[in-house]
Amino acid sequence: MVFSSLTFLCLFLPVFLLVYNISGKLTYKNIVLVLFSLFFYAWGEPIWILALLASGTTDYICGRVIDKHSNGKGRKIALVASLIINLGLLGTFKYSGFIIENINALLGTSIKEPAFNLPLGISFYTFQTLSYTIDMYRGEIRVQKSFLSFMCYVSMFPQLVAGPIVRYSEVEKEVYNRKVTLKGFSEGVTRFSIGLAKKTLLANPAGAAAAMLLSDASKLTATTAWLGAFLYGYQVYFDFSGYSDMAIGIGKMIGFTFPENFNYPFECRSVTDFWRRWHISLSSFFRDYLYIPLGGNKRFTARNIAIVWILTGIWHGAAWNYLYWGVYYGIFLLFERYVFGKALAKLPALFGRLYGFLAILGSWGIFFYPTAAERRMYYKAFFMIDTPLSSFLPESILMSHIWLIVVLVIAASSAPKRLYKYMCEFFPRLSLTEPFYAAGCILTSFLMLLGQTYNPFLYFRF
Amino acid sequence: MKEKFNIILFCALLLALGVLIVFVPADERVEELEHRKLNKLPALNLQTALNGEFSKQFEGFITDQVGYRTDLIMFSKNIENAYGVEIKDAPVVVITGDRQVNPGERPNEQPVQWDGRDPGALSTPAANEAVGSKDDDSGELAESDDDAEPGEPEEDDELGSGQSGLYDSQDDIYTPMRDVEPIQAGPVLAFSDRLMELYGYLSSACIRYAEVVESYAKALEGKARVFSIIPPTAIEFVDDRYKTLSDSEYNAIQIVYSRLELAIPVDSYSVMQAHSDEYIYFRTDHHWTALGAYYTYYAYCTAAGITPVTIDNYDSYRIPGFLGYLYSVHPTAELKNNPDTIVYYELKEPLETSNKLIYKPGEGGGTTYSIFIGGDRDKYEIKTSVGNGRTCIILKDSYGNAFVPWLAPNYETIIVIDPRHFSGSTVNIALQYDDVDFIIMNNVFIPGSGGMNSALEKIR
Repeated sequence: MVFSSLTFLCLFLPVFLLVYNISGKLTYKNIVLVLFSLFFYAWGEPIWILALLASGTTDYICGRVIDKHSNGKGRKIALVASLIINLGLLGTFKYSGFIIENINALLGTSIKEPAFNLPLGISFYTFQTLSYTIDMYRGEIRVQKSFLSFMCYVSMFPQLVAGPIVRYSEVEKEVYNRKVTLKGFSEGVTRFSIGLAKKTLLANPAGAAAAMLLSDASKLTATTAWLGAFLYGYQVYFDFSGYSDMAIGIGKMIGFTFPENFNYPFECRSVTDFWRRWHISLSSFFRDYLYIPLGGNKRFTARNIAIVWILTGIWHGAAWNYLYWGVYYGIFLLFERYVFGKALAKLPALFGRLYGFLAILGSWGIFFYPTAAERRMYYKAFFMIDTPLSSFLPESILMSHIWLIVVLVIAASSAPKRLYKYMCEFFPRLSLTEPFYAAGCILTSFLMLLGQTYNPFLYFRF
Repeated sequence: MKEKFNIILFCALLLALGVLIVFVPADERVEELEHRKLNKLPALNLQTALNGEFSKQFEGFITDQVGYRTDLIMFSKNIENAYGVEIKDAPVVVITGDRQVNPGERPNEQPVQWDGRDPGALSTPAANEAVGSKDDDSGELAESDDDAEPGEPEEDDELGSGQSGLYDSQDDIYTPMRDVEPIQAGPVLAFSDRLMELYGYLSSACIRYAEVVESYAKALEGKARVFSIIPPTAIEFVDDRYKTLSDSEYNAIQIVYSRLELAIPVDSYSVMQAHSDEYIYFRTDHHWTALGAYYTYYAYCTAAGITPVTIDNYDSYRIPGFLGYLYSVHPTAELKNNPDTIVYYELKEPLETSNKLIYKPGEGGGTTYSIFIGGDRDKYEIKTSVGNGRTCIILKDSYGNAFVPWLAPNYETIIVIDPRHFSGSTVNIALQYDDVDFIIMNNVFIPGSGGMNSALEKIR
């Protein structure tokens, strides 16, 4: 199930909140949460619930084994088993088709590609359960002996299908001891409402326009390529951060504090800075569980950056373009580290902002187009090589979306929040309007969900 | 205090929305506006639950259960309109997608319910309602003989140079698709007074279509003549400035026609182009008008060496107030105030037919494009009193519906087949008759998308 659907908003969520809140003890609440989460996950393709349960059970057992064998081989075996099974699941379901396709292309063989769909959210929950076992191995967390509590963490529907990637250590205490306060619930309501509005009011229309502009690479002009990438970038940002907001919001309503996933990424001053602000739970996962163990900044830094960014790229989808997308960022990061990073820091902030924004804008063409031919056409248009400057389509779309674009730019910046805080200092009562704008967000989102024909779920490939 | 209020408001809102879905009756007007039936609660059994079919269709069902949906959608369209500014006299590209229609369900004309024998019993619930309700305010729906101007039906229309036309069903359209947008469908170019869908084609699909048509010609070689008719749609005849938005329909047709050896191509394109300033396409619907179909009929007669029965042998009748499928995609007040008029034609010297050519309002028919032979259905056979022993078998998409009535004076038997609904062998049917003309007619979206290739192959 996805958040931005009437089924979720008008049926699943209210029923869940009701049942959850009338369940007394925390154990009952956890049971309710697990059952609703499994239902949420099973809605769509019930069969893949097996993959979720497999991943969860594996790490539950591995955690217990590591706990029992505080020294010696058992710990290692459990860790390796968890790595093999989780990465094996991910490899089988997500990458086997891609790998076989490339083997076939390389060797001229005709091995049959597996014909299954990607289990929803598999890239998120395998990473979550992995983090548990690795942290257990490192002795950073205590074991979870209750299978129910552990499944409660693994299957928790708010963050199950589109992040943020919540580590066990971040919710450890809340799994068995959490309280919902009026303030927390209310914050959750506002956060969820804003997230839903981001998705339906901003991301979907921006995405529809971007798709319209970019979908036929052979018809691109320079303006089309730039406007398309611009709108696409904002679509991805508002879609993704909207989903994270909704997850964090629902988490708050039931007493969980999930980590923040975005921090105004388009205000970055460099590409390095961008990745500190964009999908934070993913980049910090790679940092803590891959980059630093590989040697981090201390040894083989360039190699480490290369590995991490190839994997970050391919995490976004099993296709070459995602890998190239990661490599694109890896190259920028290397340059910033070894060539012009220091000079950049000395220049005025505005320059860094502009550079960062353009570097990110330039990346979307790789992310969007799966084939090399399309990417070639796109970048030719992007750099105005043998392509006209403009055509009717981008001009028409620019005019029919001009206010949307203004709102996108403002809403993606920290300015509204800063302004709101500043004004609240002068008019403390301003904060009383919060319930109204939260309700306004829900109501307009509902209307948009009704009329909207373009409401994609972007994370099918993750 | 604020917190409490926030929570209460939120819960109350979710509750209200739930009530709007569960307890407020579904908005039946959707059927009229979007030209489709309301989605039903999908069947829940072990199989549909496990293969995800149930959940896939459930959201469509829920969306249709929302009370006052039509009004609420108008609100959301207004929000979307506020995203930008309109430039005077310049069209807008409307980005649109499939309206959560159940797979297999057509977003456009619903076939008239038909039991296969008794054409008198025909009725479409939605269409009948439309007749009833509109009769009250206009009373013009019956044949308005005063307006009938045989030969030049478009002249006294206030509709100007209407245009708009298209393909057949959403799943037949080709739009370049990305993995990230599973439901993207054809975008629409919206002028203030008319809408038309943008065209895109795949060469490979066109080539395959030509092969399929040729395979019919081969199977019927020496037994029947096989014709291919591919009418262009409205977007093809728009100003050059906007043509960059759309692929060339001319090229797509050429790809098919240049590959036909045994099958005979019919040049619908030239006649449609020559008359493109006339009312040959609806402005709010993706279909052509009866007049557009007439010009193509004329081209067909030329190609087939038949003497056409010209339009001055007909009386014309008007059904005003038609808002078509494209209107439901982009409903604006301008269009609502300036709807299409359906014009249909009847021979001055009537011909007897076993099944109706026109399902007139008030006679069990509707006020939409489905008046032409009653809409799409698997097989529809018409015997006429022509008595020349000639038979025409026509495999067609919904463009064919407005075309078929023109054929009536030329054939004793007309068998109309919709490849999307029919099962069986059409070649075998053809072999049962002598002197058969076998027509495969689809608007240019069909070969361009390849959407009907496999259906056509199946029923050869």
